[in-house]
Amino acid sequence: MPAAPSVSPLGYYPRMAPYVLKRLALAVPTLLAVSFVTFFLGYLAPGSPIDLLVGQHADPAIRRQLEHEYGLDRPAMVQYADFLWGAVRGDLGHSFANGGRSVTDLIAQQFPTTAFLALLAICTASLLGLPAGVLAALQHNRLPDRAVMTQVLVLVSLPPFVLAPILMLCFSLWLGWLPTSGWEGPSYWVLPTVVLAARPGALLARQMRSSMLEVLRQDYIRTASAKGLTGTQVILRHALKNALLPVLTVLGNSFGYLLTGSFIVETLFSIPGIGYESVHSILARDYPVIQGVALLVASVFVAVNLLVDLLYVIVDPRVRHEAAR
Amino acid sequence: MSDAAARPMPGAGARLIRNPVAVAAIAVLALLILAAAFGPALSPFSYDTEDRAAILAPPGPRHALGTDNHGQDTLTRLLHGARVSLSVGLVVEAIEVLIGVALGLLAAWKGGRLDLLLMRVTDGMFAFPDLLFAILLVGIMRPTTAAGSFLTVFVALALVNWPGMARLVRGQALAVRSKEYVEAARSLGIPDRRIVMRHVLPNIVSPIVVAATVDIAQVILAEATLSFLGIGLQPPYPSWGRMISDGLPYLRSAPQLIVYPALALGTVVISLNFLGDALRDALDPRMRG
Repeated sequence: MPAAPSVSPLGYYPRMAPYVLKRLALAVPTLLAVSFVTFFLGYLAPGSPIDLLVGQHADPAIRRQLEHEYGLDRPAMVQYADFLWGAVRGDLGHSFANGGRSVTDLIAQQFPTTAFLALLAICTASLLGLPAGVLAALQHNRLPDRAVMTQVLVLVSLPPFVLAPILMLCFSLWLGWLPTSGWEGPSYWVLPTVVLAARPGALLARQMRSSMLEVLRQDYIRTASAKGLTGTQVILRHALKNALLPVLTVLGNSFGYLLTGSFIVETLFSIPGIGYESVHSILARDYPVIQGVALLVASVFVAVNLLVDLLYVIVDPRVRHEAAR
Repeated sequence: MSDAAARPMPGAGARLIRNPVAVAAIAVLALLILAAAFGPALSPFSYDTEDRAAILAPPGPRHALGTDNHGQDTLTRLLHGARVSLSVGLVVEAIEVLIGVALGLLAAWKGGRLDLLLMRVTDGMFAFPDLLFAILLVGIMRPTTAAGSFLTVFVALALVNWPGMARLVRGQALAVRSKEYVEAARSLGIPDRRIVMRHVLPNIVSPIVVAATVDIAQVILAEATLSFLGIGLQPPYPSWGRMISDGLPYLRSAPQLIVYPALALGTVVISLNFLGDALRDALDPRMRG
């Protein structure tokens, strides 16, 4: 245990830098593993990407020349090393389709839409899920609790491709309130956001409820009530603050779902994002794009989880103490 | 003591039967299993019979739930789809439980390098969204034959799902390992294998059963997602996910094409999730939150 922890204006934050560096270093093998797996899956996959360019029955000489041009005749490890070195410099190769556009370009153009949709969804999920979870915990085993928990199970059970057509039928085709597909303004955002937010919202409500119940059993809550604080004060200042910690983990994990969910939601609603592009690339066996997206998703996922862990350290003095060791 | 080992959850069955939600979920699932087993044989159509006289027919006397754009009978395809969903769910879950229990017990019992390896591998798998991993795996390896696509879906889903089960079993086994009755069994000189099978495993069955029930729902959803994206089961064999994506262009003119498979999928998954919840309450009343 290091002596004399540094004191920042924000309070007691001992030696965060080593902890952050350690966590960053741990992310490297993960990203390497993901790049390795996606590269070799593409390498071993049936059907050559050259088929995509010239068809299966092309002149063997032309095939060989194309393979040479794309570097596909080199040993696998050399191709992988090349892919990695490119990825480090931000060059993810060129799409086999899309007129040979650079994958980095493609991602840069489409990722903002996906990120925006994910952000809308996570905000919606938090704004609805967290209060619902608190309500359920405060009304434990009473009607609101049962209503919320039933709702949670139903929402967790309905995948986007079940929820979306039903909502489209109701709100677009029968009521005519919202458009069915496209991405041209706020009215286009509503249905995709709701569909994408359903599962994370339900999971957040469930976690909020159980960690709130856990906190409400603690001695310091009894103490707070005993010293004469009102119920609202106890809940807002003592219970909620502590109960929110485990919720952070669920919040971080839901980004993984949001990215996967965007594949389906963007396909359903024809939203020009990275998910829509990925599904097309998978169906067209456009490996460079698939590999690029896989790397991007892994990086985002790792980064978000890292952020959650750091938030833990900042918010919770007990974890901070552990991390400083 | 031998009693406690043999009956790790006394009264669980009775508690489950008293829970109306659990009974309803079991009834729905039993009906569905019967329908999947015998339904296709009772139907006058095959899943790929194309009735040219009835393209996109609404529900009626000849086609109880109507037909799709190829004139294929929706009810028949739903019944075959139930076979797909249930068999994928059960088989993948069985593989997952087998691998998870074996590796989890081994890691908890042997500890050391094996345990470390298991933790590292599962950590790595958790670092990537698992459904997305399955999508990439199946999408890249996508075979063109029907049997091949079946196999790929099974393997991919089992491959991405086992780490959760292994971690659960490991954690539970570690907790049981330090209990007095295990110590007692050890000091009596009972061989490891027998201790694990007779004293450890029976005591961690409850959480495994609960997790497996909920996981079956997740596996069924994952298969439907792969098929919805067009990379799961290859046509003409029907899968509920595929039926939904095939129905999308007809959302306006023939919404029943989507509504029926969506209802079927929703009902199965909701039933499994409610059953899992009820099982948790019945097997371990202390966990009732």
